[in-house]
Order: sequence, then structure tokens, then C-alpha cells
Amino acid sequence: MRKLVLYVKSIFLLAVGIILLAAAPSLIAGDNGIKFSLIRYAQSVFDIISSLVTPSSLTVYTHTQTWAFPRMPVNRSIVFLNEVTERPLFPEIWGIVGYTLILLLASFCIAFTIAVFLGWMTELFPPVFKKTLLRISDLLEALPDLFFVFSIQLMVVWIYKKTGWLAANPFTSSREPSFLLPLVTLSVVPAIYLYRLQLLLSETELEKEYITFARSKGIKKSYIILHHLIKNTVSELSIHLPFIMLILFSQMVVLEYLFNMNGIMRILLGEQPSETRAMLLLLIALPLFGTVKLLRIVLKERVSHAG
Amino acid sequence: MLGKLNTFHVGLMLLSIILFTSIIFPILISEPVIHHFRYTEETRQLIVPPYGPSQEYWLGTDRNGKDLFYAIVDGAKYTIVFAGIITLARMIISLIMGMVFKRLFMNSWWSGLIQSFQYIPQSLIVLLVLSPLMFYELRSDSVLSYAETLVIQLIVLVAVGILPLGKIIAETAESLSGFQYITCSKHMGASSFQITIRHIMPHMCPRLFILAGRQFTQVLTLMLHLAIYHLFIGGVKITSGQEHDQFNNYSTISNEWTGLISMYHRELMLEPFVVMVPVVAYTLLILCVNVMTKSLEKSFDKRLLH
Repeated sequence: MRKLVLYVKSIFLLAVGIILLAAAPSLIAGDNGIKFSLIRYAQSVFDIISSLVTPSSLTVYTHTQTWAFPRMPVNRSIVFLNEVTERPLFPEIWGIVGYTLILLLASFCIAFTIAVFLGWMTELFPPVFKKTLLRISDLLEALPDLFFVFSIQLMVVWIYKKTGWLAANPFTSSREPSFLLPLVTLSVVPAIYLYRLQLLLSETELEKEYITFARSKGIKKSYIILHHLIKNTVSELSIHLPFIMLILFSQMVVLEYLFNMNGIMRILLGEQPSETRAMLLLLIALPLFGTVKLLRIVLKERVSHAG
Repeated sequence: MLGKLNTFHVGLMLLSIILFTSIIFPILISEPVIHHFRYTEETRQLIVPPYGPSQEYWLGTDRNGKDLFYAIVDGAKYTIVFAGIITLARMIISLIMGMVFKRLFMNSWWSGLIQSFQYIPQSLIVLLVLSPLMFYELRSDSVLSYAETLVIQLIVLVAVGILPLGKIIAETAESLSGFQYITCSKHMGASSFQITIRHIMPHMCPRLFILAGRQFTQVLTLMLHLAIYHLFIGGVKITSGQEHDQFNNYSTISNEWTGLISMYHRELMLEPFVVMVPVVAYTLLILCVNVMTKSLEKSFDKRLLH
């Protein structure tokens, strides 16, 4: 019961924090130019909260550009008409939120599985390999995320040019959304990070006494690694889960532009009322938070049972 | 002397050489003249930019004929100095905040509120706050002057990072103040100010350097993420892309690297080398800083062991 209260409290505080962040633009942006104003900030926080209570009233602006041919007797010219229409946020948004969330959570699962699996494989190798692999992962971790994105995009196109085989859709077109490639690129950086962490953790774990004891009892090395080492390191990995989520989310912001995806950032970063922004941020951040908390509980439970 | 030279010093020297060259080079040599086309008489061949790497243009040129080598060298100082100033300001403010309001950061309500920084990326916050101020209608002037733009960008970029960083520093200080000799000096009547200066700071300093190194790479990554959405540090110049204004061209005012990457992103599928030049330069910078931080960490670990 006490735990439940704690969870509710931290969810509540997270939501309040996100609302405070979503109202942040009004802190410095005046009608024309920069003007710091705390009163305006408080006002907009209050507005956001009061309109979040009735979610059906939230609206989203969509910008459209139409190609028009105005009637002209002499020369036919083309005009681009910019229009802004206001539409209700729900239920249209669920599809887009779902797309973004599925991408985030799926790549999270992929990264976690691959990192743990590779970590397990590495332990079976001789120690010399392990040292070099640690060095390589050190180097890879130091590379910026966009480097991987560009390389993967270039590689897919290069393979297509050479062999005519398109492994995955590198850009979203109006016909088909790209899914596989963003998924792969999203999971590369967290997978490397988790893999390196796993190697470091298992290095300290191997020196502990229960491993020596198990070895002296004559238990096979592969059994020890699978049943003791991996289990314990995975539960220690769970401390770093929020950080992984942050990496994923901040990469998602950029990937959406680079892959031209129809995700949530396009709406979020367009001209929108601040209460809609707050709602969208909440819709993404709360499931991520829930996943992290749930995984932590599951991983901890398993360890306490095993112990 | 030479024996003590580790990777950190080499990296530091490399960074200062880059910075020095970047400041001196544009003063000595003016920007190469743009050739819109080249015609060779003998082979009757017409070449238009982007030119590949050659003796005249070491790293080639972009689609407008701008020399990439010059742009990279010129932009290095802006990239390093901007990221450096932001990192330094963040470190100083969070250090003071983390030390003074240590108790507040440990409070569960306050840390619950700060948790929102762990789930909302900094790039998103900065984009939400700054994009209404930075972007302007085509064929009109920017709302803010150049100096105003720079100052407000620096303020927002610093402000967005100080709370999470302050929390890390407060947590480190809290774990350091668990030592026995600190309890002892407390019993002997030392004020909390004296304990902070005399006992916590000496242990804090090496950790602060490591934190600063990590912040530096974080700020660089943040700058790149912002640049992808055309929010360049130092201001953006918006020009029309086509006769009917179907799209806008965004270009950096300073030749800062992340801005160059974003500007040339369009060339990724056409002329990959144009975008890869700033990408490689930027990657090497991050790699250099990361290697420096790692070597600091290692030497710090060794000192702890002895």
C-alpha cells in the first residue's frame, strides 16, 4: 500500500513537472520580443491545467499548403495558399502516438535483448577477445548518434544502387511509412551503451565470492554465466533504464525529421496551443515512465526470488 | 615530465591547437573566391560545383562553390567556444545550486519534479522555447538582433541543463559527506560552509572535471539535435528555396559545425562527401573530448586505489 502511494506520488509529480515545462515558452516570449514574466507563466500554467481537465476540448492546428490557379485572363500563375485549420485532438492523435510509442518501446526491447545476448556470448569467449571487445565498444560509444544514422542511410542506398535490392525504406513517402530502418537506427546507440555497461558490470561481478565458490564446486562455466552472472548484471542494468529511455526519446526527436516520419514531433513542434503540447508530452512520457517502473519491479522481484 | 604525459594532455593540446588555428587562420587568409563554374580549354569540359577535393579546395566545395576547408576551420572556434561557454556556465551555476540547496535536491517532492527532465529530452524543451523567437517570415528581418539572439540562446541552453546537473552534484556531495571525518569535524563545531570548502570540495574537484567532460559532449549533441531543426547557435539566415517559396533554405551565420551538418544534410543522397566533411570533423571533436574524459576517469580511479 505504501509503495502504491509512492508510485502515485511520483507519477503525479512527473505530470506536474511536464506541465511546468510545457508552459515554459510563455516565460520569456512576450508579444513582440523577449520579456521575462512570472505572472504570465503562472497564468499559462493555470490555463493548461484547467483545459487538461476536459481533454475533449483540446484542439490541434494543421497547416496545409494548396496549389491554386487563380483566374487570370492573361497569364496563368501558380499561388501557394497557406491555410490553418483547427481540429479536435482526439481521437485522431491515437494512431500517431501509437506509432511513436511502438517505435520507442520496440527499439528499447531490441536494444536490451541484443545487449544482454551479446554480453552473454562475450562471456563465453576467451578473455583476450573480451578486452578487445570492450575497447571497441568504448570507441563506438564515443561516436555521436547522428553518425550512425547517416552511415546506415547511406549504406542502404549504396546497397540499393549496387544490387538493386532495397533492404528497407529509407524515407517515409506518402505511400508507405518507413518502420524498419528507424527501428534499427534507434536501437543501435542504446544497445552499444547497454552492452558496454553489461561488460563492465560482469567484470566486477566475476570477482565476487559466490562465483568462485560455484566454480570450486565444479559447476560448469556456461551454467554459472547463464544462471548467476547474467541474472545479477541484468538487475543492476535496471538502474540505468531511465537514461536509456532519455537517449531513445531524444534520438526520436531527430530521427523523425531525418526519416521524414509522420510521428508526434511534427505536431509538437508546429504551432500548437500549449495545452495540446502538454497533453502530447504527457501521452509519450507517462508510458515510458510506466515501462521503466514496471521493468524495475519485475527484475527486482526475480532477483529476490532467486536469492 | 614526458612520462606523466597522458591522453588527457594530448587531447587538451590538440583542442587548443585547433582553437588557435581557427582564430588565426581567417585573419591571415581571406575566404577563397567562389567560382560558379570551371572550364578547361583543352578537354572542353565544363564543371560546376560541388567540386571534389583538389589542390585548390582541400576538402572540396559545397553546391554554391563555398570552400569547405575554410568553412570547417573558421567554424571550429564557434563550435568549441559555444559548447565550452555553455558547459562552464552550467557547471558553475549547478555547483553553487547543488552545494547551497543540497537538502532541497534530496527532498522527494523536489526530485520528483525534476524527474520530468529525465523523461523529456532537453532538445525538445529548447526547441519549444526558442523556435517562436528564432524563426521569422521570409523576406523580413529577424525579431531579435544578433547579440540578443546569441544571449537568449545561451541563457536557454544553460537553463535547461542546470537542474538535472545540480541534482547529480548534490547527490555526489551527499555521498561524500557520509565519511566519518566529516561527522567528526561536525561534532567539533565546524560550520557547514567550512566543511564544504575544506572537506567536500577537494574530493569533488576531480569528479567535477569528469562531469564537465561529459557535459561538453552532451552540449555538443544537443547543439546538433537543435541544428537538425534549423535552430543554429548564433542565428539563422532564411532564404527562399524556389521561385514560389515552396521551401526555405536555412543557413548558419557563423560557420559552426553542427549548423553546417544540418545545412548540407540535403546532400546526403546526392554528394555524400559534402555532408560527411563536417560530420567527420564533429565526430572527431566528440571522440577527442570523450577520450580525454575517459583518461581522466582512469587516472582518478588509480588515485582512489592507492
